[in-house]
Amino acid sequence: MRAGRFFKGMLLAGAVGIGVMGSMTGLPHRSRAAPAGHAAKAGTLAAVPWQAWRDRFVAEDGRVVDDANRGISHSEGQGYGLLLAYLAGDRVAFARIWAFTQTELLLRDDGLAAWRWDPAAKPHVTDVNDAADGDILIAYALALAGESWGWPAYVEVARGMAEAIGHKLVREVDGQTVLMPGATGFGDTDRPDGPVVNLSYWLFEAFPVLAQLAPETEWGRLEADGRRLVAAARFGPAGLPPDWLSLHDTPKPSTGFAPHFGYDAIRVPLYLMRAGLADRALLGAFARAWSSGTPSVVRLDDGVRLDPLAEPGYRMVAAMLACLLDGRPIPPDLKNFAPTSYYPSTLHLLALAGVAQIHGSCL
Amino acid sequence: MRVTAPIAAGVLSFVLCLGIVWQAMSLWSPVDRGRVLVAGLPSTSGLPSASAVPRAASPVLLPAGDRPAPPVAAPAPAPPASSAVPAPAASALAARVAAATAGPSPSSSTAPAAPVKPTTPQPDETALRTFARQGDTRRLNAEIARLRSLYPAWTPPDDPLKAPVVSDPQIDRLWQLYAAGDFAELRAAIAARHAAEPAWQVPADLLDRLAVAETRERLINASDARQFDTVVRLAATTSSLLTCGDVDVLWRVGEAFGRTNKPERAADAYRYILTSCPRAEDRLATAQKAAVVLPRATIEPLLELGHGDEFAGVRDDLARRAVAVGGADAKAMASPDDLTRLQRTATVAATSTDAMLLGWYAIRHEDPVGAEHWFRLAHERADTALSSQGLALALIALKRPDEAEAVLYRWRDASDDTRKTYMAATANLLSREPPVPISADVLTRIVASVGATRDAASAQQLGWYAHGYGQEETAAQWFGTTLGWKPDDEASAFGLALVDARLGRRAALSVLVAQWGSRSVRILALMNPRALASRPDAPSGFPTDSKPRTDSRYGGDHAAPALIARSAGQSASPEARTLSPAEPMPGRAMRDVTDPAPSDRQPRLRDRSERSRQAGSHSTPAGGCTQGGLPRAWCLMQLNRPSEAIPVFQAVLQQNALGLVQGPTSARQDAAYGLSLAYLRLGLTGEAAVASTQASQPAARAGELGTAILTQRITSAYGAGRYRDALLDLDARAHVAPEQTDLLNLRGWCYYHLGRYKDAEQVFGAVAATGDRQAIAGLVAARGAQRGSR
Repeated sequence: MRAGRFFKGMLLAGAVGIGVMGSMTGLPHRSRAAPAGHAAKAGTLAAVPWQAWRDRFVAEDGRVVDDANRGISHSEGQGYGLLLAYLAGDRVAFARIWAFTQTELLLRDDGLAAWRWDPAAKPHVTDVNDAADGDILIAYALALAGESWGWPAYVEVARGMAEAIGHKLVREVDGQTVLMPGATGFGDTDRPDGPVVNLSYWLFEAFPVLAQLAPETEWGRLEADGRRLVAAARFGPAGLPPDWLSLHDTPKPSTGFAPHFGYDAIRVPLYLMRAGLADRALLGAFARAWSSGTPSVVRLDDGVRLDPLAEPGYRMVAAMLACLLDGRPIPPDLKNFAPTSYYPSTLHLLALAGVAQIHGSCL
Repeated sequence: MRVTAPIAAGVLSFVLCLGIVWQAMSLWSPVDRGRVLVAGLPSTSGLPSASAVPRAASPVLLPAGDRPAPPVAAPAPAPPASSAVPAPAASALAARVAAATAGPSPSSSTAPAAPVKPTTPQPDETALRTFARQGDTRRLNAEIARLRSLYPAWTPPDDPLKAPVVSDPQIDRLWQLYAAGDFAELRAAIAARHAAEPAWQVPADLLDRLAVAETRERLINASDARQFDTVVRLAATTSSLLTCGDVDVLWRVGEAFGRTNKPERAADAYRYILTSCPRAEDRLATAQKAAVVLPRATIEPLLELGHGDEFAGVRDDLARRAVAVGGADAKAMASPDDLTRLQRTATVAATSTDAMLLGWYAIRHEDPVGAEHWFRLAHERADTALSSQGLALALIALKRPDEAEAVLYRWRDASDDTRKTYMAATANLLSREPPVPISADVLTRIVASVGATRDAASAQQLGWYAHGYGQEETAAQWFGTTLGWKPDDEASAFGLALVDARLGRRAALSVLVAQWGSRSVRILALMNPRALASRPDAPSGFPTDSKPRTDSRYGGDHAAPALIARSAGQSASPEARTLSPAEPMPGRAMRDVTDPAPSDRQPRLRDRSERSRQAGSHSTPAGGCTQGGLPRAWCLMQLNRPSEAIPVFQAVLQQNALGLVQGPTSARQDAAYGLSLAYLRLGLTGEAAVASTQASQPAARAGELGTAILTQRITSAYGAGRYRDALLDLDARAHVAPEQTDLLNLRGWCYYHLGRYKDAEQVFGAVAATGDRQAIAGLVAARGAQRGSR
């Protein structure tokens, strides 16, 4: 179970909209460094695993169901669905998922997506705040699909979202360009330990695409400072980053969340690897922690391993890391995808597609 | 086109968007010119020419690759059949819109000329046939109405079922998905067909309608999520949603404008419905929604659009709301129109609701007469806890607590509020001045209620009531009971002490004085009332010969008229408070005076009296105050430097207390006495009271100090506008010392400021009989006020 994820809903429910989050103001237009990572390629996800994922988690109305989370949906799930459909070249599923996403979540005045949708609630949107990773996934997938399938209208929506992400979520905090997790609730005036960020919301592979859509935002610096933060935010004997990181002064685990390396932060190495930004210095600690092949939730202060993350999806992330760092082949049981629950299944496909794109010889 | 709001030059996108909307309007058949909602959006002057803007209702979020070339025909304006309210008969709508646009409607006259429609287009009857085959009569009729409004020359097929069979069953399925509202499924099916047949083109009508239907859902979701900018944006780009067939969308758009501080545009939306949509229930609901969303001034012109008294109920509700708001907030005024309207409904209604609202409004706006009228009406219709409570409040305000008690007795335990009001009625009933006897029955039930609720205020009043009738033992019991419930109730302790003093229970009195003396000057002053009462020539700054001095200070006739004018004007103003009867007070503290500067005549006057007294008592030489100890302190007092005298007195007290100086007992007494006087002179009544307890004083001096402190409290309270407190202390002082002319005048002014003009007249009248100018002035003022209040 992913007890550690989706704290944001509970936190944000009480947060009153305060627009100002960081000390960000208009940045001087320095020469912009293009993001160094690369975007995903269509066709890297095979039809069979994709169809298994789609048939399991995508409802007929285009809703991606988080089955381990009372069947709710969220912008992250819709974004993953769109991205995976694009990677698998499934235009039909993409159209279906997008129809739901646009009608049900793309409602906010600022052009970002409401993050949580509950089938049991009426109205279904139970938290109209956004989630940066969901916003980025949706914009990124729309841009890829629109570009590659010749649907410029998708690109236009992606452009609007990229600009909104740049305006609302990319902030300067103490000289660093960071991604706020949501439009409200995480800034220095919102929380005693604010600003708080989530390093697993940095979807590095999306930045070069978003940089083309919204060039006035410093995506290159966002990438570079994100990598620096990933390198710096290492805690405890395991030297791993936390799910939620406070930038109130020197970076440390946020006090509003369990000080764990957990369900969120496992995506940090995954996203770095998928964007082609893997290097041993940045990823060595993850490889050491996952030497058994099974990641786990780690309590940072003493390095104690709490829940093992034994589902194949999590182990696939570890296998991808072993492949990229040491050329180790992906174990056969992980090569054949069988859906478990929504989240690890999603990571599984992202990792499989990543290996296929970057290091196909491990497969 | 009317300009309802200035447009920022930079809002080009919005203007563009209006251009789209505008063109959409111009493309529609004359029937649809009734879409004045969009015409009511801000100025469209300077619009790009119709040919330069994108096609109306362009589903910008659609993948262009899915789209065929823009169809020649106008976009379908009807909402999706799955959610459609059947459109009104085209002819009726056309007539109404024609009527509306012929009049003041801004949309027709200056609008860009509608481009001539290209050659008569053929309506797409696919949806019609689909609905017919499904036997969906409601949607079938809606579709016929829609096509008729779009294509006036078109006649529906006699039997839609006999229409040519759809050549493409796949397209038929797409229409079915649309009809079922499975829009995501329809998107998927279109994409699938495209993937299979890249050359295939979706029917333009279907695609347009799908986009409109999706936008409708999105708009409703955004409205539910209170994302009102999104609602407005979607409405502006998909104006075909804005029809009488879907008033819910119009309402939501109106609300979105209202919630984004654009009441004029919100009013446009509601006005569109009221001028164009015939369904009575839609119109009434529109007026009701407008009444919720819009500011009052914006609602009124909309209500004018009602036929006859169509919206009378809405007006009543608005009046109700205004009066209810005024009933909760004294600063909120209902308009005379609203009050009159509600008075009318309240009078003819069989229920008490409106009368109650008017009653609370009157109570809140200090109109007890009106409050009595409306609450009595409400009470006659429904004798409830609330109507009884309201009536009782009105009666209390009208100084008829006996009636208030009788009305509310039955409901006294209904709620905390009724209980409190009932107790207020009893407390007022018991404390009436002059006292009025209460029947045994009523007294018995009041006693029972007070006992049951343990209400300290009423219990204390029972004590005073008994005291007033000489039932001292009963009074003592009630005061004691009150103290049991509220141990810090000084007034009850005073009452108890008073009873003890009157009954000569010296031991009990001294216990009370020991307990309360440091906290209550008036209890302290009870220590030896008889000694005080027998000293007409009481020393200190409270001479009995106030009248000559009053005259000497206010000999000029100018003082009195000024006093009257100000007092009659409004007693609450500071001038009135400080100028009026405080002036004749000989013993007033320097802090209280209007002009605290030492050059004021009063301090000098007082100083003289002080000096003469002290010179007599202590033989302190005037001059440089070079000596030490007490003589120095008294010398400083003579020079009217009390703040310098205070530390000297304190030092003497300290030394005596520590045994450092073997002085006479009287030195300690003198120091405490002097300290009290010094504090008094600085107006620090509380400190004076404390100082007076630091050494036991001879009875006369203790009484003198107590009286002095009380007097200063009286003037302080009066100066601060706390007339009730001043009266309480006046009463307390009257128990221990005679009330001289100046204090009698002050009492008169207290009554005056409390609106007790009759009492004021009585007091002033008695003093005026001695020829006192202040009293004469007061008498004139009190009589004038009585005339004014009638």
